[in-house]
Amino acid sequence: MDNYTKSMGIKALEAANEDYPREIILDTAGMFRTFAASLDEFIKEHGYNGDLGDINQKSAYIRTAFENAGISPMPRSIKEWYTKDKGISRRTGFQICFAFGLDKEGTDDFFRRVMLMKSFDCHVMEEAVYYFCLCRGMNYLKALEMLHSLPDKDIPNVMNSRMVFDGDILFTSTIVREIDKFQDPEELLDYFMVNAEKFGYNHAGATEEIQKLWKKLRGRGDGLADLERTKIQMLDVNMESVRSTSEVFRQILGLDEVEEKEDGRIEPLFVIKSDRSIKPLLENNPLLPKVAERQFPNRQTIEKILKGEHVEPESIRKTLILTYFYYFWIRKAFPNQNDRFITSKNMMVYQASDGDDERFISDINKMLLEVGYLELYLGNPYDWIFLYCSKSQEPLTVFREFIHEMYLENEEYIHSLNGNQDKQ
Amino acid sequence: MEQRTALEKDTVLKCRDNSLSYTIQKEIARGGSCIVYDAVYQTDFGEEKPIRLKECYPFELNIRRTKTGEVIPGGGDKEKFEEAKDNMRRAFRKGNGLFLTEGLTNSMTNMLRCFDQNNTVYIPSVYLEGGTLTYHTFSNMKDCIRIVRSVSQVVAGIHKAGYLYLDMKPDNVFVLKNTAGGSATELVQLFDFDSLVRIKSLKEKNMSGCRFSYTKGFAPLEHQMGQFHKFGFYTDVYGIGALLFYLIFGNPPRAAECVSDAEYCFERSKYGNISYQDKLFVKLSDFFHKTLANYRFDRYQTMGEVVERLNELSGLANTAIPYVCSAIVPQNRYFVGRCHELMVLEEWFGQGASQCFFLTGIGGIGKSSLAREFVSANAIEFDTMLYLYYRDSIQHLLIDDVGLQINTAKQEPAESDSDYFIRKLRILSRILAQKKALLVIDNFSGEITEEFLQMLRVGWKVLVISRDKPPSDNGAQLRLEALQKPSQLYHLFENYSGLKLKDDEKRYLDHIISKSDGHTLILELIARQIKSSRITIAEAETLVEKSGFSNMSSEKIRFEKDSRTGRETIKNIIFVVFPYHGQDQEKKRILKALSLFAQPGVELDIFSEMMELASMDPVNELEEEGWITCSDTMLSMHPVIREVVGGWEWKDRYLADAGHITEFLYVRLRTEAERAEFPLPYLKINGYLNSVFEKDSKTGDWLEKQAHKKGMIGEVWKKRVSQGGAQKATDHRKVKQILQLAESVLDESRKTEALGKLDICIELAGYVLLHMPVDREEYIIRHTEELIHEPACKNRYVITTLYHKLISVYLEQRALGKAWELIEAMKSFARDSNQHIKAEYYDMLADFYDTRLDGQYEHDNEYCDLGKLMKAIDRSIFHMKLARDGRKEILLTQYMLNKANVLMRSTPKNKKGIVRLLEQAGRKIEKNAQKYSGLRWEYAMSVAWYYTLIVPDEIQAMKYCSIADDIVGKTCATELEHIDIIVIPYANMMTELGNLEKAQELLRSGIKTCGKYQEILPYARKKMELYQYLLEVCYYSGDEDACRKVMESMEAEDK
Repeated sequence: MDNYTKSMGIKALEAANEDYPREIILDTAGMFRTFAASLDEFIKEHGYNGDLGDINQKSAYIRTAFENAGISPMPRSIKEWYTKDKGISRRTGFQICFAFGLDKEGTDDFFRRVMLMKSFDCHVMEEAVYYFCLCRGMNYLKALEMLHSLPDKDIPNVMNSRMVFDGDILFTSTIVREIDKFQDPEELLDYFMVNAEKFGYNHAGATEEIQKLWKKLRGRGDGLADLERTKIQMLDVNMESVRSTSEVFRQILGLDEVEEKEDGRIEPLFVIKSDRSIKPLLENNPLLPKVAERQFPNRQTIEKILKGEHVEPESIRKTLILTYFYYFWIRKAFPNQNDRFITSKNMMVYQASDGDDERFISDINKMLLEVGYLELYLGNPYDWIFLYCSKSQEPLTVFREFIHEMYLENEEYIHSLNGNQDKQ
Repeated sequence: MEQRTALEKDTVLKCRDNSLSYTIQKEIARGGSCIVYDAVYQTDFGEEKPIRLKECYPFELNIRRTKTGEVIPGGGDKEKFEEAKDNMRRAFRKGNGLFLTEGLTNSMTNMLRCFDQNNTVYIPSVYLEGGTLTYHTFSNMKDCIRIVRSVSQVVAGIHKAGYLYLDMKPDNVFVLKNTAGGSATELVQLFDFDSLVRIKSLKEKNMSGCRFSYTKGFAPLEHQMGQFHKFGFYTDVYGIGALLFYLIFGNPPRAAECVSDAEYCFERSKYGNISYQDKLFVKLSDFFHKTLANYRFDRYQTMGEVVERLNELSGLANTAIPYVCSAIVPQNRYFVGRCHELMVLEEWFGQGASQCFFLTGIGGIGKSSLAREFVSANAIEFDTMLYLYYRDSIQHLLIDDVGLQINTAKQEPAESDSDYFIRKLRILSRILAQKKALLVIDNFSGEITEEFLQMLRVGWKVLVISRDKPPSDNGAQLRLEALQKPSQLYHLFENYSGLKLKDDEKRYLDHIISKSDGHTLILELIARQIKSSRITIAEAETLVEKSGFSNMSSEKIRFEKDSRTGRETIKNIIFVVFPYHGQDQEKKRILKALSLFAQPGVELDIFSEMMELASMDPVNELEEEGWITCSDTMLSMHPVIREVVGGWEWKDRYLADAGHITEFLYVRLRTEAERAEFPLPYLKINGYLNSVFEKDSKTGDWLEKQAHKKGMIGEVWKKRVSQGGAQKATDHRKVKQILQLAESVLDESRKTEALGKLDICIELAGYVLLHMPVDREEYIIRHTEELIHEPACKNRYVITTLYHKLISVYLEQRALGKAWELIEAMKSFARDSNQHIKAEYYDMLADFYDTRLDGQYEHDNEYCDLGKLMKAIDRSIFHMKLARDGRKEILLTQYMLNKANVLMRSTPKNKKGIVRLLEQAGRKIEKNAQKYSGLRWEYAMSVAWYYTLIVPDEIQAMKYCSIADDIVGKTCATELEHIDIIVIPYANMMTELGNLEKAQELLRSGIKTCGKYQEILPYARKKMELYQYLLEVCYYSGDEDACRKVMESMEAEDK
C-alpha cells in the first residue's frame, strides 16, 4: 500500500474511533488528492523526473508521451488539467493509458487511483475496443482504426434503454469473456456487428444487484427497511402499500427523523423541500469533496435504476455501495428469520462484531469486482466515507451522523432554499 | 479465436541428448498456456509406450508455427514467450519437488523431463487412463464430495510441503479411471503447477513484480485483488469450495453465493431430484459458507478441517446407507414467549432421563407451535427428526412409508401390517443407534399400548402432543397454559393484526384477553378479524362482549393451523379446532350443561345435584380428554370450548337440562337469600313439617304431591321445609355463589332464544336482581329496566320489588329525575294492584321524599317533602295493615320503624308517639323476625337514635349500635351496606351526642373500608360522602388542621 493510501486509512480509523469526528473529516476532505495531484503521482511512476511544481514541464512530458504514441489529435487543454484542476473525459483517460503504454492492470489502476471511476466498460463498444487493444499491447492507431469501423448506427440509444431481467440480457462479463478469446481485431468487429442491439444498455450486472437488494429492503411489512422502522425505531409503517423510494432512501440516510414541537405537532427534523432531492445537502459541503458529491445517489437515479433505465456509471457504483452498506448492516440486526417477528429490538443491534468491517469490505469488493467495477479505494472520497463508517462500532449510526453533520454544515443554505420554495 | 496450431501426427520430438524420441499421436487438450498431446516412445525392446506431452504455447500471445514445427512469437511477444517458458521450467521443478514429497507422489503428475525443442519447452509425463474433471464426470453427490475430498487431501499435502496451490479448477484435476471403467474418487492427480508459490516467499513479501493469474470464479477475493500479503491456506480452501460448488451447480460461485447468509437452491442442482438426507444440505450450506466466505478468516483455516467436513458430508451423501428422511417442519410465522417451556423441552431432550414427553393442553393453546419452535431452534442438535400426525394407532402411524421414510425399506405387497411394523422398528433401531433422534407425534389420543412401548424401544426420544391428559403420571410432561405476560399477548396480537397497540387501546385488549382466558388461537383469530374487517380494537371488544368471539363477524379470515392455511369465519375455525366426535350422549349433555357456566365454573357437587348424575365417570372421562377442567371442587370449561359447546344446537334434552338447572338455582336463591328474613312463625311450621317428613312417610308423600302441584312455589316450599326450623343467618357467600351461577346462566339465556323463552328464566332473573348486591349498580339498572318491560314477567310482587330496587339505586346515585319517572310508572301499576303492592308504592314514595329532604328534618323544604314523607309513610302503613300475605308483619314493622325514625328527627317532642311506635315494632319483631333478621338491627338502630335525639344517653346509644353492628356483621352481604347501615348513622349519633372523636374514628374506618374497593364506583362515591361527613365533624370540633387534611384528601381523591 502506498503512503497516500496508508495515511487515508489512518484517517479512516481515527474518524471511526472518534465520537465527534467532524474535524477529522474536514481535515481528511482536504487531504484527498485532486486529479492534478494524482496525475503527478502517475507521471512520476511512469518516468517523470522533473519538477512536480513546474506545470509547463509536466504538460510537455505528457504531450511527448502522446506524440510518441501517435495519438492525434492531442488534448488541447493539458495545462488546464493543472491550472483549473479540471477532470478529464474517459476517452482522454484511455488515451493517457495508450500514451504511457499501460496494459489492462495498469489501466485499471489508473482509472481507480487517478480518474476515480470505473475502468473499462466493455458494454460500450469504444471501450471494448480499448480493452481489446490494451490487453494485446496494440497501439492507439490500431484502436482508432477499429473505432472507425464500429457499427454505430446499429447501436440503440442508451438513454432510451430499459433492462428487464427476465429477458435476454447480455452481461458485460460475457462480453469480456468473448473478447478475451479473440486474437484478431476482425473477430471483435464481427462480434459487434452480430450483437449491436445488445450494446444499447450497460451496467446490467450492477443494475440487477441493486434491484435485488432493493427488493429485500422494500418488501411490504417484512422488508428490512420496514422492519428497522417497526422493530428497532418503534415507529408505524403503513401496511397498505409499499413505501416510496424517497421514503426508504431518506430512512437509509437517516433523514427521516422527526421532532415533537412545543404544541405537540410532530414535524420532520430535516426539511429539504427541493423536489425531494438531497442536492442542497451535498452542494459545496466542506465535509464532502466534489468528487464524492458528483453522482451521489439520489431518489431520481435510484428510481431509474429500479426501472432498468440508463444512468451514469458512477451513479450505479455509488448507489450499489450505499445500498449494500445499508443492507449489510441492517441484515446483521435480523440474523434469524424468526427474529423478524418477535419482540422489538433495542439499539444494540446496530453494533458491529469483531471482523464485521472486513466482512463488509470483502463482500462489497467481491460484488463490485463481479459486476465489473473496481473495489473500494481509500483514496476515493466517496468510498472513504463507507470505509471509515465500517470501522466504527456502529457503522449505520455513524453514517447517519455523518449525513446529519453535512446537513448542519449546509443548514443555512437549505433553509434559504426552503424559504424560496415556500414563496413560490 | 483459437489460432494455435498443434503439432501434426507422427511428428517426432527428440530430447537434446537424443536419449529418447517422442512421436505425436494426437492433440488431447489445450490450456491457456499449453497444448497437450498423446504421444508414444519406444522401449528398449522396441515396443511403443504411451506418454503425455505438454508443449508450452500460450494462447494470448501472438505465436505462429512454422512448417518445421517451430513456434515463433511475434515481435512484441518475445519477452512474454520467454517468460512463459521459464514459468513452465519452474513449474516442472516445483512439480518434481512435490512429486518426491512423501504422501504426494501418487497425486502429482509424474513429469519425466523438461526439454527444449521447436523454440519451446516440452514436458513428457507418465500416461494414465482418465480425464480432467468436468461437471459431468460424476452422477451422484457422494462421488462429487469424495473427489473433492481427495483433491483436498492432495492440497493438504502441498500445504504441508510449504506451498500454496492457487490454481484450483476442474481442468487441473485429473481423475483416473478405475478397473470398472468408471472414474475413481479416491485417487486424483493435480497438474499445472505454474501458480505454486512458497508460503515462505509470501511471508518474506518477496513478491514484487509477481502477478498471480487466476481463473474467474475459482479464486477468492484476495487472489483477485492481487493482495498476496493476505494469501494463506484459506486461499486454497476457497478453491476447494468453488470446485465442489461447480460440480453440484455447474458453474463457479458468484458474489451473492459467497456472503455469510447465502442460501443455496439445491433443488435446482443436478442432484435436486434425488432423495438425500436433509441434514446433508444443511451441512453443505455450512460448508460453502465456510469455504467461499469473502472474508478470509471466516473460512476454514486449514485443509485438515476441510477434509474432516468432507468426510462427514460424504457419509451423509451415501444413499446406500439406510437413513431416515427427516421431516421438514415449517417454521412458525410468529412465535412469542414460551421461553421456559422451550427450556424444559431442551433440557428433556438433552439430558432428561425420560424417553417420552407429554405436551398437553386444550386445542389452539399453542402446543404444536411450541413443538415446531423447539424443533426449528434445535434442528442442528438432531441427527434425525420426524414429525407425524397421529390417526388411528401407533402401528398405522409408523408403517406409513410416506410419513416415515427409510430409504432402504418399504412394505412388501405380501407383508402384513403387523409384520412390517416389527421389521420397520428393527431397522429404525439399527439406523438410529447412537444417534440423536426425535419423534414428534402430534394430536395423539389413547392409551399407552404395547405398540406404544415397542415404539419407545427404538431408542429415540418421543414428544407426544395431545389434548388429553397424559395416560400415565410417569414420565416427563408439561401442560401448556395460556401465555401469562401481557407484553407477550400484546406482541402476539400486534403481529397478527398488523397494528401497533396504543396505550389507550390496551384496556380493550385486556378485556378481550380476559374473555378468552388468553387463548392463543382465539387472540390470533380476533387479531386477524380486526385486520380483515378494518375495525378498531375498541369495536372488536364491543363485538366480543355482545356476541361472543365466535359470532363477532361473518367475514372470512385467513388462518393457519398445523401447517394448513385457509379462509373461514372465526366460528367455523373454532368449530374445526374443537370437534367433538364422541357418541356418548351423557357426556354431550354434561358439556352442554356446563357451557352455561362461565369462569370460574361450578362446584362439582352442585353440578352433580343439578344434573342428577348417576355417576361421575363421564365427568372424569371428559376431564381426561381435555374438554373440562376439574381443580379441587370446581368444574370448569375453557372459555373457548365453552363458546364452541354453547354453539351446539339446543336439542330438547339440553333445554330440559337447562330448565332444570334454572329451577335448581331459583329454588336455591329463594331459600338461601331470604333465609334470615323468613317469618318466624312460618319457620316454626317448617320445622314441624320437616319432622313430619322424617317420621311419617305417608303424610310426607302426600305433602310432596301437593307441593308438586304448585310448581316452583311447591319446590321452594319443599326446600324450606327441608331446612327445618333452625334460625340461621343468610349465608352471603352461598348466595353470592348462586347469584354468580345464575348470572352466568341468564347471560347465556339472553344469547339463546330457545333458552330465553323459558318462564323459569324470567323468574330467576327477577330474583337475581332482587338479591344482587348494591355495588352491582350497572348490572341492576341494565337488567331491571329490561325485565320490568318484559311482557313475560308477570309476577306483580317481583315487578314491584324490582321497581323498588331500581328506585333505590337511582336515589343512591342522586338521579332523582329517573327515580321519579319510575315512581310515576309504579303509580299506575299500583292503582290496579292489591294492598301489599300499594303499600310498597307508598314506601317508594317515602324513600324519594326522604332522599330529597337529605336529612333536613327540622323544618320542611321548598317542596314540602317532610309533610309528604310523613303522609307516604302513613299510607304505606295503612295499606300494609290491610294486606294479606305472609310478609305483611315484617314489612309493617319496617314501615313503623321508618315513621319512628322520621318523627325522632322532625318532631322530637312527640316522645310518646315515638315510644309507642318503637314498642309496637319491638313486639312485632319478637314475634315475627328471626334472630338474624335485618329488622332486628333496624330496630336496634332506631332505639339508638332514640337515645341520641330524644333521651340523650351515649351509653345506651352505643349499646344499641353495637347490637345492630353485631347482627349486621353476621348478615350483611357487602361492606358498603355495613357503612350505610352502621358506620354513617353511628357516626351521626356520636356527633349529635358530642363524641366527635368517636364520630371521626367511625368515619375514618369507613373511608378505609371504601379504599379497599377503589375500582367500584359505589364505594368511590361513598368514600367522598364519608369525607364530607368527616369534614363536617372536624369543623364542629374546631380542628382546622384536621379540616385542612381532610380537604386535601378529598382533592386527592377527586383527581
